[in-house]
Parts: sequence; structure tokens; C-alpha cells
Amino acid sequence: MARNEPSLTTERFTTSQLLEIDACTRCGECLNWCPVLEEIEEETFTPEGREGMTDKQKMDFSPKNKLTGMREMLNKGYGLRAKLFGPRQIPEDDVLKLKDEIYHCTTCGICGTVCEASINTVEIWESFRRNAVMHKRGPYGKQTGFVDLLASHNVFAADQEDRLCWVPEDIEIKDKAEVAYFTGCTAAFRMQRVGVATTRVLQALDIPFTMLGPEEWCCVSVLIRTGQLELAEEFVNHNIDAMVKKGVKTVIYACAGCHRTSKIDWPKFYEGGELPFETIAISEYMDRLLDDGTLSESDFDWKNPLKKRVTFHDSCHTGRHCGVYDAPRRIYDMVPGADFVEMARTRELQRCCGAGGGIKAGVSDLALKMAQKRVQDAELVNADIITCTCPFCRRNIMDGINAMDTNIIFKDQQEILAEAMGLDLTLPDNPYIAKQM
Amino acid sequence: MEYYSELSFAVMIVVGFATVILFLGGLLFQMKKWGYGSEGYGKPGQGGSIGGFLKLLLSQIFDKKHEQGVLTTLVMDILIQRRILKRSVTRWVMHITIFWGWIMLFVFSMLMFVVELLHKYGGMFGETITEGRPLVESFPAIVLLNEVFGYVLLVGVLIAIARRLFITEVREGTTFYDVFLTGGLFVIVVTGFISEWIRSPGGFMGISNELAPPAALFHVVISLLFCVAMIPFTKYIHIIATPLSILTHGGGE
Repeated sequence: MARNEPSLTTERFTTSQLLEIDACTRCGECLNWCPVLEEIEEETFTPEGREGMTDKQKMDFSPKNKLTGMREMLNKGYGLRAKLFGPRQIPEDDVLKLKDEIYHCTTCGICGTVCEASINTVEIWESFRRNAVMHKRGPYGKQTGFVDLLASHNVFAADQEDRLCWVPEDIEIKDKAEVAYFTGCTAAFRMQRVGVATTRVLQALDIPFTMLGPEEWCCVSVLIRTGQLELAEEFVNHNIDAMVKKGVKTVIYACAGCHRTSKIDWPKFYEGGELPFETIAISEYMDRLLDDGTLSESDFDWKNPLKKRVTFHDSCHTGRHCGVYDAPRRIYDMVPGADFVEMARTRELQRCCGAGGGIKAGVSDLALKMAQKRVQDAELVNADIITCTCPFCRRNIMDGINAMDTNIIFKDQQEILAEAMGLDLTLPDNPYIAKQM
Repeated sequence: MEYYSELSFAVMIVVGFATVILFLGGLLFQMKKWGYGSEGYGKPGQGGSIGGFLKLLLSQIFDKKHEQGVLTTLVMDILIQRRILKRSVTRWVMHITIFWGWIMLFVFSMLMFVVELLHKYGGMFGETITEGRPLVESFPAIVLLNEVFGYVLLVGVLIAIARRLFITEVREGTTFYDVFLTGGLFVIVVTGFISEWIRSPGGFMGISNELAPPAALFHVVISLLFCVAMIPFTKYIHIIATPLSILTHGGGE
């Protein structure tokens, strides 16, 4: 590092973010909500190399202290004293310690939701992570593998030509259409049942749609969340161009991660700025069609009443990040026999399941503990089924269920809908059957 | 007895100017620091441009994508602080009393300072407004309100101290950064009351009222230094940064 360069630079931080770092009043509200801090304080999880932490040291993993750490480091590089006498060098171990703390975050965004100063914490964590990667301090653990995996244009290093191998033969995918279903890597290769359910429901409701197939590249959520942006622009522009070529006006998602990334992150990388199409969750799309009369409840042609108690886990990405809360609930309200019940923490104050922000790959034992906590939330309301609109939440919550002694099962929203409509969810034979989660 | 004696008045003027210079200099410096950030995601930094920072700040505050108007945000989220109220009533009472206590005392202090200036240098006008009576007697309403908001501030500061002393979670998270703000406010509000009480003819708790002018001077000097000059360099910066953060995000619950 050059002698006069601050130990923590302002690279990747916006002016607003630098202002927000100073805006933290250290009120401590985020301490009451941060799901990662909760696990650390309860000692159900201990970060690697931090065994035997005091209560005070544990708080270094709180959003409040992360912001304080950033502020102090930035002031050492850009404060008055630094201007007069040059930046004060910070021991590299201290910067790495802060880096580790900031990578122990699912970017669920609840700290920002409850923040009295309205600080957009998620964007700050992600800017710091990008800065860390630029200075070869990040990412964390196995997250480094994402870039190599994406050489294949999907996070499972699968053959792109197999992108549609799961689609049943009788499903009609239009070559061009105003509506496109962006499947996402997980539904295409590891949770094909979600993909089958989604396409079956769309077809049953007479909604013509197209798909990108091999031209659908990863949405790059995993790269953006972990600060590894080298490939992001290429992937984003490729996907957008492919949508434009198919004449798409509305892209619908059954994956919360892809939805959030397309809606909030893609415009940052797209050469044209504002996207040339709208990006909405499939529940939002159905909600709209029901509102404008294109669809009516009778179009759903229910065949199998659910007869189960269902609770809905708002994914962080669809909920807090995109602000979609009512539309998915409207779907469950329609399903016959569904005894819908809310968990104690829902909507904007929902508890993160622990899958996001690179935690599932980087700190998997933390992700598992958080998933178990969410399953316990569902047990408290005697739910039979936890449901969600995010394949990544699904994977993590199912891991949590499998690690517990519980009768609760997980079903994606589209699966519930398709089953209640009596649609066939059999997967066509394909090379990924044995890898389904 | 007037608020300031001859000597203290001169000191006041010097400290007042020093305070303004420190505050403005510090604020410009902070804005320069914020100006090192980029205009937007992934864009290059602006090299510490104050103009760039201000331009961007204004465009974000008046961004048409915000769900509510700037005025609503100003009233509901900054002056009434509903985001705090939604999360914790106790913390809201603490913060709203400190906020309004501080603001109103600052306003009244500035008013009294203007009156002092008019009294000293306003010639006929100065004589007219005081009608030859001591300043304090001429403006009982301001004096009364000063005292009322002094108590308002005291309530807030005491709640803040109590939180940091008696709530384990808050106590363990307390740093010098926090103590400087709360402690500074406590010292200011206490010296304010003492300097006011010893102004009475019999003094206060054995302290002669002859010490009122230096006590008032001490209170005013530390108030200016702690509560104004130090704003850009300490946790007090949130007085500026937090409302701006709320405004740039369009407020809302």
C-alpha cells in the first residue's frame, strides 16, 4: 500500500453513503433486530477465530459498530488530522477484522428498515465489500468460488444448453412475448419443481410467456452481494439485450434473489440506465391481472383443497428490498383449504432465514442456525407448511428443517398454487434429477 | 444584572466569532470528506468536491421518486421524529426533548445576544427596547422560556444518562464518542442552571451573585464550543448528517 494512501479508501462509496456513515446516532435499535448478532450473542454461532469473545466484543458484529468502525477508519484517512499530517495508517489486521464483521451479514436489510437515521445499510455493506475485494481483502471463505463458477454463466457450473431441460414437453414457450419468466439458476438446475410449477401455472392461466433458455445468464446476485463485480456488467447487459430481442415488456420472477437483483442492481450496470422493461414478482403480476380483470379467481380452477396450516416467510429480497408484501398473501388467501397464519415477525420486520448476502456459501453454519430460528418461528404458530417465493430461502430453510426434529415441511408458493390447481409437477427426465434439493 | 459584563462581553464576541469560524470550517471540511464519494454506484469518486456533494445532495433531497414531499419529511421525520417514536417511546421522549431543548435554547440565546448587541451598540433603539431597565427584566418571556427549555433539555439528557448507566446493552455499547455528546450536554445544562440561579440577589447555595457574570460566561463559552464549534468534529455531526440522510431517502416510516 502506498505510504500516503488511507488504509480504508472511499472507493466505491457514494457521497450519500459517506454522509450516512456519519449520520448513525448509535441509538442501538439495530441491535434489537440483527439476526446475525442474535446468533452470536446467544452463542449458537461463533465466528471463526473469535472464540471466547466478551459481550462487548460480540457487539462488533452489530450494524451500529460496523458503521462506527468504518467512520473511524475513514476519518483516519480523510479527517482533519489526516489532511494536516497525512493519513494515519491502520494495522491491516484491524481492517481485516472489520472486513470479516461486515461479511458476517446476510444483507437482509432489517437494520436499515428500523434505522432512525434512515441509513441504507445494505448498500453501505455492499460498497465496503466491493472496496475490500478491490484491495484484495475480500470476499470471505468459499465466496471466492463464485467467479470461477460463473465462467459457465450459471452458479452451478452446469451446461447452459440444459437451461430448459426441465420444461415439460407440453409447456409452450413462445419465441417472442411481452411477458418473460426469468427462471434463475436454482430453479433451472437444483429446484426444477419450482420451475415446473411456475410454467404450469402460467400456462393454466393462459398467460403467454417466453424464456431466455441458454441465453439466460446468472442474474449475478451472488457477485453483487459479495463485492465481486468484474463480471456483473457483462452478465447484466447480456440478459437485458436478450430480453429486448424477444420483445419483452414485463419480466416476472419466482426467485426473490433474481427479482431484487434485476430491479435494484441491474440498472446500476446497464449501459442505458433505466431498464427497457419492468421487473416484477410473479405474485405481483397475478395480483395486477386480478385487479384489472384479466384474471378472476375462477380461472384458477381449484381441484385439491390444501387442508394445511400455512405460514409465509417474506423473503428479504421480495419484502424489505422490493416492498412486496400483500401480493403473495393474496395468492394464499385464494387457495382453498389453506389455513393461513402469520408468524410473529412478518413483512418489513420479518426474520431473515440466513441464506443471503453470501452467508450460505461463506459461513454456512451461521446460515443453518438462522434457518432453524425461522423454522422455530413457524412452529410457534403451529404451521404445517412454511412457504416462500425464494428458492434460496427454500434451500436454507429446508436445511434447517432437516437439522431439526420437526414435522414442518417447506413448499414454494408456486408449488402450492400448482398442487391446489391439480397440475402435474412431474419433472421430465434430465441430467439434474439426482441433484434436486 | 446583565447577562454579560464588559470583560465577558468582549470574550463573548471573540469566542462567538471563533465558534462560527470553527463550525463553518469544520462543516466545509466534512462536506469535502463526503465529497470524496462518487456521484452514483460504481462511478469514480469526486475528489473531495464540496460543490459536487451539495449538487448531488439537493438532487437527492428533491428526487421526484420519493413517496412523500420534502415538507412532510421535514415535519414528520425530522421535527417530530416519528421514525424514533415508532421504535421506542422512551428513546423518542429522550431525543425529542434534547432536540427541541437544544434548538430552542440556541434560538433564545441568540435572541438575547442580539438584544445585548442592540443594547450596547443600538443607540436610541437599544435604550428604547430596554427602557433603561436591566435586560433580564425587559424580556421576562424569553427568560421564562429559556428556563422551561432548559428543563426540557435536562429531562432528555437525564434519560440519556440513565439509559447508558442502567441498560446493560446500552452501557456495554457506550464509547467515548457517545459519552462526549451526552456528558457535554449534561455539563452545559447544569452550568446553565447554576449560572441562572446564582443571579438572584442572595446568590445560590452560598455562591455570591457577584460570580454570576463569570459563571454565565463559562456556561456560554462551553456551550458555544461544545454545542456549536464541535458539531462537525464529534458525534454532534449527526445533528446535520442525520436529517440530511433522512431527506435524501425521502423519509417515511
